[in-house]
Amino acid sequence: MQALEVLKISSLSETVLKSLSQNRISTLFDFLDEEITKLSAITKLDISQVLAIRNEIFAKFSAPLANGSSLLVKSIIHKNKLNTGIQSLDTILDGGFPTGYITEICGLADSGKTQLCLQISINCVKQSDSNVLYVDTKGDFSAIRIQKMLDAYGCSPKEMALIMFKIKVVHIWTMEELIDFFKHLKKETIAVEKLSMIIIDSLPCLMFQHLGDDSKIGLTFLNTFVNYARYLCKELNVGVICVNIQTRWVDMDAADLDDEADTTDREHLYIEKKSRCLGKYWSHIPALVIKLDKVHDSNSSDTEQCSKVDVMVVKSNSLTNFNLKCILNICDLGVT
Amino acid sequence: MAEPKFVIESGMQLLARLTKKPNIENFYPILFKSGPKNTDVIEISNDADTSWLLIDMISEALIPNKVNDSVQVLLIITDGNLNYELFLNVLRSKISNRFSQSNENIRHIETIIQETLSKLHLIEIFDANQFYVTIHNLDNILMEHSNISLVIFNSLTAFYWSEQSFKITKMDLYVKNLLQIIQKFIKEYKITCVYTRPQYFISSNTCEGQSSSYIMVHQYQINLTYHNDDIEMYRVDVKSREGQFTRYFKITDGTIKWTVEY
Repeated sequence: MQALEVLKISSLSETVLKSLSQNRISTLFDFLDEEITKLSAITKLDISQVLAIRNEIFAKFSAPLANGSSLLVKSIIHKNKLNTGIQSLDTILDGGFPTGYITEICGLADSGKTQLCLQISINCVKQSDSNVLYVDTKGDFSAIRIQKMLDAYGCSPKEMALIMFKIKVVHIWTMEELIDFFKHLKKETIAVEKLSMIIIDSLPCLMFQHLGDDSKIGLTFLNTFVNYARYLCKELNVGVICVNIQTRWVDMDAADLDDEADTTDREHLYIEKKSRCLGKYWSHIPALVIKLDKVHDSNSSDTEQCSKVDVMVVKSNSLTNFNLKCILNICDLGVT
Repeated sequence: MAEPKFVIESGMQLLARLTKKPNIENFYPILFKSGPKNTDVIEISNDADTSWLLIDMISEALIPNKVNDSVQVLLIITDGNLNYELFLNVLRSKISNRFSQSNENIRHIETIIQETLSKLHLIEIFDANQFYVTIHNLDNILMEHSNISLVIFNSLTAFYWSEQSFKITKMDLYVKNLLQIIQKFIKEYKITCVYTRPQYFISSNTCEGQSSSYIMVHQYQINLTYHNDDIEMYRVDVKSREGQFTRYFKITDGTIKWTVEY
């Protein structure tokens, strides 16, 4: 909570601030929460002066009130979907990723999340004059990988250069850095022109550094990041896409139910469970969650550089039907 | 001897406080029957996305009816997930269905949509600082817009973790403290308040499904879950002083369809 000093009002002199501080009133919230008559007595200011300070706080820090009619205008002006350029995916997403909201792409390791993000970045900048901001937290963003994908599409070196120029990459290693970067984007001290999408690949990489932390500082960071991300979503009308990972484990309890069961039967009793990382708080954050599931094809050889991936919508704030599915062919040279 | 306490208010405040509020009662009978009354507090705890339910509720409160067409709604958005496009579609669909079948169809549907939307007030909040200041500013907002009868917080808990440092406030206590501030305005301006909180947002010493210490302020407690067995269905458990019951809804043709049984 911000300190009263941020107000910089002449009536809030050092003496007044000191008197307030001695009465444990040091933040904006403390000031607003206290009775006006008591504040007047503590500060020796007139009630009208106290009211003026309150009004100054409201004017500077209260969120603006908008009328519902503005929604109609916004719906006409703003583009509300970001076409992914992958037809089957756009079909199940009813046109693409939503702008103005946080989307999560989750899946087990090696399910093709990064490759999908790279493909979406390419398609997004290819079909419009907008830019994509790619936040790489794993340190594995490869321009050569993108170049190979573009080469496979038959892009000329000039087209390649233009597409790669429009994908802005930033390497971030901690949650503090991510928050600081988003803070700069909010304050416009770092500006990316014509920004349409921010991809964070991946969020758990940063959050795992705080795993098992008793003070829950990781959650404080995550909440602060979410606040900034939401602001950017709404104010810049961009789509923020966060890559999350799934973990998988075998539930042994089911297998222990019958010790007499033979090996084959036992195998049937094992229950494989998968869950999205980042915990309960995060589970309520994204407006859209899509899950990638690699299809294990016994006929395919290990040398093949392609894999089939089931894509499923598991959460949405607008789609009527969840559990819509499509199959993507994820290859080193592109996603179709 | 204790100091006498004075409540100072302007003529405007007094007028706003004493003005008769548009009636919100009976606006959503499937869940609130003949209620809710002014000053009632409704909690919606959710495991599933609340967008559909809230959008349906807000639309029903705003769409003009025979009883009252001047109800205004204040929507305070902190979790940012309410889909405005979906809201406009639902509102448009409801208005078209309702007014094309009556004599009201002389009025242009678009005009009714615009009039209906003008009765909605929106506040989008992006951090804890802004949240607290805005809550205190409700006094001015409700005074200025005296026809607001329903205030919806979606959600009340969006900034909880960003406020925690080494000493963590219990989740129940956090909600209780916020409700204490809000209730002052609810009572003063005679408004109905709806707020959402995620289902997990409950102190560890409070058993699931059990009322926590702050429950006394609620007139309705609603629990929303999503079931995805053979058919996709939302389950809504309603607890009120009059008793408890369960309703289900599914989304068909872009609107909510309620059923009593699963």
